[in-house]
Amino acid sequence: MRGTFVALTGSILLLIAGCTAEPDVTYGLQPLELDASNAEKDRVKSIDQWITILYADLFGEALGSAELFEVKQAFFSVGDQDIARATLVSNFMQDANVQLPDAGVMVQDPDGFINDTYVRFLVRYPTEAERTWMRNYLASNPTMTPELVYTAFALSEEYLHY
Amino acid sequence: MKRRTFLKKSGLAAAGAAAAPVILPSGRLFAASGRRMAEHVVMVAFAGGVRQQESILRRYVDDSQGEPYPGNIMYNLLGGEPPVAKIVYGTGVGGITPIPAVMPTPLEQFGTTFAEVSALSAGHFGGLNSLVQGGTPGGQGLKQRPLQPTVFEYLRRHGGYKATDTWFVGNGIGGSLPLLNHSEHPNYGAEYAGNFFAPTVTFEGAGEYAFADAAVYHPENELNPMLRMKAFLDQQFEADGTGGFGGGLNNTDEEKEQIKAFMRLMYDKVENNAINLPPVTDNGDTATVGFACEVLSHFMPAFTLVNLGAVDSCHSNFSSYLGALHRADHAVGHLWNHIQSIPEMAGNTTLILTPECGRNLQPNNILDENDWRAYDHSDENSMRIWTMMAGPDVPEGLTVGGEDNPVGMVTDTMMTVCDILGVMPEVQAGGMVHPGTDSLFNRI
Repeated sequence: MRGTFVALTGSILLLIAGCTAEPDVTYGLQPLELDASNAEKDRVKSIDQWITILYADLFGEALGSAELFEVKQAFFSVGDQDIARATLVSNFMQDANVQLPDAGVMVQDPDGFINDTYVRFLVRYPTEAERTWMRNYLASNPTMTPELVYTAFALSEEYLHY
Repeated sequence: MKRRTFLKKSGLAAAGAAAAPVILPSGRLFAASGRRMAEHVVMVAFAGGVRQQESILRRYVDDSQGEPYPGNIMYNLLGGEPPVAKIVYGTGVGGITPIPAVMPTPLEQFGTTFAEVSALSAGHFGGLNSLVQGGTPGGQGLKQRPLQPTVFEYLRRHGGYKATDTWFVGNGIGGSLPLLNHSEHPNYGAEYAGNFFAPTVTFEGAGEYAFADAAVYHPENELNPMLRMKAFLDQQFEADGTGGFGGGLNNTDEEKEQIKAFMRLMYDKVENNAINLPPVTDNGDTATVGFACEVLSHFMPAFTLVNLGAVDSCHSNFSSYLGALHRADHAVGHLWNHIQSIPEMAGNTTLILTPECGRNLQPNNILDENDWRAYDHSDENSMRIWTMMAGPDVPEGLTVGGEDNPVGMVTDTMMTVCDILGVMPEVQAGGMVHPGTDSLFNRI
């Protein structure tokens, strides 16, 4: 009888201790204000960073570690890294899962397309001068497609920096 | 015109032509000052560590395994009878069927052989650096670019060659290999680098995933408009032009497109089994040489370095080493034949080949399937190598030096390339090669 009492008391104490309320913790991301400045991008991305960010920007998902290893191996096998980068971007562009906007968007809403592209690749809004140049350039070069615009951004020097 | 007037006028014209600066692709004003003996040089780093005993001395297993069977297993490079027994280096089960020679005459008979040359290092890293820099990699760490200029940079800076005139075809991307196409030297560097592919990775391995589906954009409708937009973005960013984590090699835009087109062609050829491979292609070296042939056909470079390395299996398997040596010979024979099949290169190309280091005199304790012992490379015997060359102005059928009479150094190979392509005076004046390094032509 005494043993039963001790066991029952112990269980009640454990139950009380186990019911302590958890602290109210909230996880989230602080909103970041984008501007049109590129002046703070003074650090060069590593090869891993550039490849994984490129993949995320083009496919909207993370590149697997095995695939990253493959791409890095391929990069080491080509002497001219400009060529390796251009070829990888073009290769990704031919993938059926690449997230390219419809060409019509570029024509119907050029400002929206330009803004979205700057934010997607360069994580900033274009300056007024850049927006104007881009708008005029797209209007006067009908052979430009979203693929070619994205390629130009992905190969830009600014995209190599952060 | 009177003879005297003619002589005066023609003399003035000649003097003017000699003094007039010519802007070369490198931006250099004057052409190289040295003589130029051939239009093209193909240098083979017959690498991986090759023992004198099984190669140039033609002793097969007589000087390694205690088996009384000497013989030549490099039919395309060397003369001499093959072994009569214990054949393991060929094809088929047990390697019992030797690969027939692909050259009608061994290179030895129409070229010059330096039968006993001194290496400066008993290892691959030091040896390969000796071959590309003409020196030893003192102070240079592993996975670091050379500290002194490479042969590619000498040629491009002093010879005025454009980027696609100089190629390094590597057998892989291990170690420092992909870094040997240019140095970190402040007066040379990436601006004067050689182009590089490790084709068995670029076109058959990981590169297929990363590059194979890339489109070749239409130059006027697609490529140029895209590049103009990129130029605008770069102008806005005002980058330092270093190209981020890895820059370009000063290929012109036109050259870049040529290289991309070449890559497209290679993926198509791989898919259709159309690469110009040696008749027997069953290891990495033979495949590498097949792709090197494609580089030669496509670019007809002034200088191409091809690196082999399969013989390094000798660390753990002597029979495999013999097979790799036999195949390296087969591959070089195929390479020579291919050069002669390219009209622009036939008859004006020099082929020069050198192992980067030798292998030990004594074996280690690892036995292979034939109970033969393996060999590492760390002793004096590892410092013994040889060099062969053939081409314009190269004496035919000449052997210089021998087992007890070493002539030349591993670094001479690089200087000989510079001599053939006309930049040796500038390289010597730079004073950055190993002391005593000289053109092999000066050692004959």
